[in-house]
Amino acid sequence: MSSTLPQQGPIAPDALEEQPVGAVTRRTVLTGAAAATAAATVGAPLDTPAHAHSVDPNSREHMVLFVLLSSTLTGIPADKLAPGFRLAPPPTSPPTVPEPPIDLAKSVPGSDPVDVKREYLTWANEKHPSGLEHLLRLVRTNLNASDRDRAIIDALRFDDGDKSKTAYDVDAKYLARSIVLMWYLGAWYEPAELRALRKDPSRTPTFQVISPKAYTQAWALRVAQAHPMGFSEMQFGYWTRPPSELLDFM
Amino acid sequence: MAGEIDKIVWDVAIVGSGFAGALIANELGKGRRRVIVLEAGAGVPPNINAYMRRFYLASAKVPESPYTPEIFGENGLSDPNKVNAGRPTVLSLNPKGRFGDWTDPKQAYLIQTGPRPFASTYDRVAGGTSHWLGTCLRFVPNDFKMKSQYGQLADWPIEYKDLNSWYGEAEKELGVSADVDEQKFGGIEFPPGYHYQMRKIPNSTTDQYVHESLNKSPLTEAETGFLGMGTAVTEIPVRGVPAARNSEPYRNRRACAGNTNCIPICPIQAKYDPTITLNDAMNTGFVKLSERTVASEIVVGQNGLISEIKYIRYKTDTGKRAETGSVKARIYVIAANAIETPRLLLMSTNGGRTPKGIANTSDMVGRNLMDHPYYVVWGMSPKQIYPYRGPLITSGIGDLCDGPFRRERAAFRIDIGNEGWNFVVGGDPNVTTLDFVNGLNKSGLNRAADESDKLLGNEALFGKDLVARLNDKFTRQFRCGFLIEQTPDRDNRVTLSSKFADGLDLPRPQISYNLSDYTRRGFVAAYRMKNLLFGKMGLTEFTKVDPEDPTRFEEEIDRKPVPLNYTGAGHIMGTCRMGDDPKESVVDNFQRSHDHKNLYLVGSSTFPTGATANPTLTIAALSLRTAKHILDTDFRR
Repeated sequence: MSSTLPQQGPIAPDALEEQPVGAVTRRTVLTGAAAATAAATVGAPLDTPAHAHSVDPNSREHMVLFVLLSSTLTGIPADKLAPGFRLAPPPTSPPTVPEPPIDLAKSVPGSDPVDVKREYLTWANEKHPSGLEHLLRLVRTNLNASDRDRAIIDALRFDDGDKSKTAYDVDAKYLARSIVLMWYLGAWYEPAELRALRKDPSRTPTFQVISPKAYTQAWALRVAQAHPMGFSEMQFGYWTRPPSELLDFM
Repeated sequence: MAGEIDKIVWDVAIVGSGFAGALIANELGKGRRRVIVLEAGAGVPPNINAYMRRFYLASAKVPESPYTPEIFGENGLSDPNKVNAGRPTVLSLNPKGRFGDWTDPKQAYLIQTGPRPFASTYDRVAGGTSHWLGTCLRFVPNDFKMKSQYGQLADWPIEYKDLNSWYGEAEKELGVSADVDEQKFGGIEFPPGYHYQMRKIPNSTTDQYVHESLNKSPLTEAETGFLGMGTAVTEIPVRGVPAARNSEPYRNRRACAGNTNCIPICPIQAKYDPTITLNDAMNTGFVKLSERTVASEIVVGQNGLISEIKYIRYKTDTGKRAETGSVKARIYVIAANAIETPRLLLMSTNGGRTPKGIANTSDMVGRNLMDHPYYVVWGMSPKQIYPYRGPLITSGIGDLCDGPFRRERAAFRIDIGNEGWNFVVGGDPNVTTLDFVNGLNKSGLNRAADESDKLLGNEALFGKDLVARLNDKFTRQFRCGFLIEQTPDRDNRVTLSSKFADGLDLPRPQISYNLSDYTRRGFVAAYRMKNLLFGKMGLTEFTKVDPEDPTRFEEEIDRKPVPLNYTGAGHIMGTCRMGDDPKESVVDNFQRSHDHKNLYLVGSSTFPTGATANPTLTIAALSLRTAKHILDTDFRR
């Protein structure tokens, strides 16, 4: 069984599963209580706690969508954020028109010993389940767009005052920024904090380092062709020469 | 209720297990003297995992962040009133009324009466202030004779030549990487054939850019005349900084891997810290460390000799006192630091028999508190210089630290940072990343095209645009700092607070502190040097002084008011000055109290002047010299 976010329309928790609600499938057995809870809460409003499990960190497909989302937002290749990540079928090189559609069920979210992606998906899902669902749906909708990155980013770039956007859109925009900061800094800046900072930039931002692991996996200084401070994986004397090219770091 | 350690008479009792205490304990242990070390804070941990975890999780990765006691309590900063062995933090140096108000005794361990903040901090834990950089500069010869050479500050009762071999011994114990020929400047000489333990730490890409920019063509008198060096300055070399940081495996520790984290903590102990010597000391079998044991009073006998030291033990940072007791020894060594040492001396009133405290007939205990006020500046380089790589500092400019100008103004030394803007703007990489993700401009790097200085930024980016922008900004960041020699001033002073105590009900240190005109003239020269350097490097300057910063002051430079400020260098010195005259000084040149022949006060509290070099190597050299003196004179065999 596969679990896939719907491409459009209002999200009902049961829609997460392609198969009929309540069907005991290998997937629901494998994912255990979380999936079972989601399946049992048909028709629950978006913001109830029960709905928190609409995105399932144990779902391979949700993880693939999260890695694709993260890669688009951060600009860092998916297989660097999630070592071992690969899409099925892989993009053709050179690209053909049309590219064959991505099969989420066969894509691999990566298997890496550090696995910070799981910590991040779980974290974001616990903090803002409906916002995360909104973002993953955005990826799902644009999965086979000719320029997926552009389509996703364009949907998240607008002024807060834009009348054509809903409150969900605005929430999703700031959650997207929180997710970028999570990957870059290993720290969590609440979407509401980011919004407040835009209103009053003089305030001192509050944030929380997610975990020691998250700190050591942060990308900001890898993007600077360096390493998180206090977590060098380089050799004595490397600093006396210019670093390898940026591409080698990502 | 007395403890186990009270039952015997020790040869030597040492208060404090930092650089001075650990080195002396080890030498005495090797000399088969039974030593008890009283450490106010926690003991040596079995490994540094807990420190690293605390560091990784800290939102503010300040120098004190890996160590105990905890900086934060349930409601913000820990209340120093409740902490048994408290310590200052840079988080409580903020403007009045804000978080970390420097004048608020509920947030700041030191009771600061001003007019300016004393900005340096220290740790209270076995191994002392391990959040040091590793810099192992020697003083230059004239640093020891400022009065006789330049008519300013004070002379030391010893000279460079008295310390030369002890510097060598200290370098051996700490394990220093440097090149002898490169370190011969400012009159520094080495014994024939001398070499450092390890080859020098290579300079960074940032260092190389500074050196090349500054010396592309010979400098002119018009450019460098302001320095007052007495001779034409046509070249200003950037030199490697000697460091107790392994460039190859040394004494069972690894070579530096460039973690760019010497402060707060080296994750692989490639940088020396005193827990290494402390472990050696305990391995002699003659040294015992008693942790969480706060010395509370030095007791003097009728014969004028110290007879015992009373202590209070506790089990947890904020828990109740567990027991009290006292240790007896033939010789006593106070190695607390230049704030805690005078505090203990002043607390020791012996029920009114010594109302001015111990070792204080000169009234000099607690006076002449010094730091190297640190003037920090930053900018963006026109080309990529790749900071955030290598040790925090690999090179500096030391050649300008001595000359005839010292008759008129304070000397300075320049540190070249390898850590981009981590130390400034509120802490990068976070600030600049947040700016470009969320459309802010706290770093100053996300300005709108009209160059307005608004805090709201121009761009909020996702994706590959974000990568490109951050790469461009981070790889061009430059930061340097000027360590400025500070005059010893009687009223820069550590006393005891009459109102505020710590968790053990011991009075907290009260500090009055200011910058003299002579010191501030050093800032003015540093400011001009910054202009020369930034001009040569083609930097765009981003240095900003918060209008409410309590360290801010203004100087008129070229008929314009210029805002300046300082941070602490962590170099706490001067409060038990050494000298030949017992009326004007606290200890003699072996750091022995003039008043009590079996009492030594060690560490940078005994420095009569601070020079511009980081004090640690000089602390270590003086400590080894004192240890030898104790073995040779107090325990003649």
